[in-house]
Amino acid sequence: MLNVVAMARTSFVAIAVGALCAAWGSGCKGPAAPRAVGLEPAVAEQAWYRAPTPCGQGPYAIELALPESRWGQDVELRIATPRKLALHVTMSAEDTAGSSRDGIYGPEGLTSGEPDNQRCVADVHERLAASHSVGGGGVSTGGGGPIAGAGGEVDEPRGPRPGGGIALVVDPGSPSSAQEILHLGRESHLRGRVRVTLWSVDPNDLTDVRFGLARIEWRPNVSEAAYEAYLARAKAEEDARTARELAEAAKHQQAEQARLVARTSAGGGSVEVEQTFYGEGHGEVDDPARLERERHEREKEQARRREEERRRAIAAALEAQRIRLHEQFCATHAEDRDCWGAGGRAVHDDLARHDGERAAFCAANAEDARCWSPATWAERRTSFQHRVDVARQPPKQPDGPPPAPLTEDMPPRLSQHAEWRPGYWQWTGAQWAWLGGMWRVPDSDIAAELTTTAPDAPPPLRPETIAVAPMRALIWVPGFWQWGSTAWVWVAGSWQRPEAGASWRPAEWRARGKVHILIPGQWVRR
Amino acid sequence: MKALISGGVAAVAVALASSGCFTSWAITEGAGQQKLLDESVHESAVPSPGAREALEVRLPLAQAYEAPVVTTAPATPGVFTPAAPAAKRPLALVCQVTQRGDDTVYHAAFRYGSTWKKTAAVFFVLEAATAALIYASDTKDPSTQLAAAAVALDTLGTGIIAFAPRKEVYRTERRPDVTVVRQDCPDGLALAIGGESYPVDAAGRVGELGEAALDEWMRDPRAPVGLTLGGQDARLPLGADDVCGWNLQHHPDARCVQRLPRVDVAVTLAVPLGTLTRAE
Repeated sequence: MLNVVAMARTSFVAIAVGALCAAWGSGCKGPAAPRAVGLEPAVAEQAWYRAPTPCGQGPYAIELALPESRWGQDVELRIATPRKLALHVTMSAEDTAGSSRDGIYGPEGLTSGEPDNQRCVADVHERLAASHSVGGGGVSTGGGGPIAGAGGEVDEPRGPRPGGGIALVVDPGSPSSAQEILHLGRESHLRGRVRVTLWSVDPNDLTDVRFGLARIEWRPNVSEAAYEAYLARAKAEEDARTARELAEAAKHQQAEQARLVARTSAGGGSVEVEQTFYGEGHGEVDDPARLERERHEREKEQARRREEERRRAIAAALEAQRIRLHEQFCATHAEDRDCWGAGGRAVHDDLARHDGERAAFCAANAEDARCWSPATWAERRTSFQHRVDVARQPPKQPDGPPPAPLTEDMPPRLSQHAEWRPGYWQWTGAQWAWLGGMWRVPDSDIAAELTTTAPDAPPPLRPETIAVAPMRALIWVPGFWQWGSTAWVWVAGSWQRPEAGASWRPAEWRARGKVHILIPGQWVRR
Repeated sequence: MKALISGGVAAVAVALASSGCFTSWAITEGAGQQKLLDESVHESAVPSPGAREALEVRLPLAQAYEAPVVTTAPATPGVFTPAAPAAKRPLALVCQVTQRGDDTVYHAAFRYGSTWKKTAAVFFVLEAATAALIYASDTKDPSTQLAAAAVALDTLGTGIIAFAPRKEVYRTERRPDVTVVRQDCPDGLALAIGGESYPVDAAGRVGELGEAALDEWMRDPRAPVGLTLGGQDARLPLGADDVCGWNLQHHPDARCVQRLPRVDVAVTLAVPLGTLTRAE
């Protein structure tokens, strides 16, 4: 019964696509497909979601409870995005193999290239390398969060764990166009709860991005009674065809068996029988004359081989005798140039002595490349090449989504045009490391004195307890007071990776007439 | 027209004669390269002690790009699809570890042996036939006759030197030996910029942060920049021209004048023999 349903589904892909197009509002073109009895998909329910923050890497989770469906149902995840995003998506349901897909998705669907996430990702100078093996420079113009690595040297994330995921916010609107990311359940009946998880290695810019989840139900395109009758007819026809095929196969097998018995009897029971199997075990019997011919051929071949071996042995004996006679001759003719080459035996012996000097030198100087044998060269070249191959391998990708983001306290804005780059988990190739958020203050704001102003001078700096550096080669960027419109706010100090050849000039407040103006901390060339 | 053909024949004949067997032999003798004619050579090379090992590192100044991606999708008629810009390749230093030393080479060989005599005989016949053909092509044209005479002269010389008596050569010479051992960058090599150290991997890459630091240095080259390896350091000999070349290659908005463009700058770190040439 299920097979018949599946066949009927497959036969009506065109109709299904048409129905989906209509249901998702993307519009369908071209002539209408011919209608025949079958199942057609229809969007039973759908919802659109958006991320709770403009920048994020997830893991985001959507869950959908599926009602019972008589004719089958699918779930489809769609995306409407104005820019490229990098996404790892998994979708799973009870009793159904999960489905996953990784890729770059743009306004036109699956694409290639890099995600457009510059506003959410630290640039190379801001990146706080967590790996001990990676050098780097970090730049910060203002308060930021802590630095932490995920494993050993880390603070535990304070948000929900990956298993829970971050819930997406339901969006009441519906985008004008969207692209499919993942579809679950084309060939099976889904039931229970469907869980969708979305995440990325680096944060995506999720502004104006919508994720849609639709439940698509398969329904007959005729009345249910008519469709049931159609299925019953189809099943009866299939049963009849199967019965016909089985009968024909049995008849053919009987005929073959009869033929084999007849041929074996004709050989008197003493004939050597060779069977070549093909299909389902049909055989054939060889006649005695052919077997006799083959025996004769084998004997001839053996005789030929014996003769060849005899000739080779004679040639080898003659060659050995020639060499022995030549050596005897050369031993008694030290001046013969054909024996000893230029200079005769004296020069030959001299060269042999120098070969011995070389061997002695090499025995005492094994690291001199001039002494290496081809085997040593091969071993070392393989070793050196292996290092290059390992270095050129793409960095290891994370096995799963990053931990949930840490909770950050955003300090007051540092300048008029400063932009907040939220903190996020950076994959270092071996572990996740937390990069604290920070204000990006444009140089023009500092030059034009568009940074924060305060009515009074700030209080004295707070003494800070400097924690142990979580990573090598970091410097402590001290905390400072920031004016928060009505009161002073302390922006805690943090460990930061210094920019190459630069030192940190701490933030300071300068008097400007009746007000004080903030000069944010900066990396300054030494 | 005929004069033109004759001139061509003459030129070919002169070329043939000048590259003939006898002429070639005379040039070889004159240049003191008689050892090229040695046959049945038997040599023994004994390494002299005192080989030196060194790592040479080159910093390329030009921006390298990935090979363009060739798409197999058919183009849409009437629609111009601009090619995607080639991706920048990460900076990669070029490393080479060499060992340099001298060998004492003992060389025994024959000269004007049987191989020489057979070769000279073959050339004698070929050149004689060539001279006859040139002469027969135009027996009245003086330039053709001159060309035939030139080839014939070479043929005569070839005939004479074919009978040169066999000589035996046995000599000793000191020969410099340079062995390139490896071309990956060894462990421990790092790019040092203003007190910061950026490890260089086996493929010569310094990582995006190292590359960014070098690029920043090129924009403001004040702090020292160099390479370190096992406690040794060597300053990269980057001049103003090199810095300008880098900036012109890496930043389209750079403004400077480069007088003597260089492809790369190199620095050499000498190490004790065997330090970098052991299998790791």
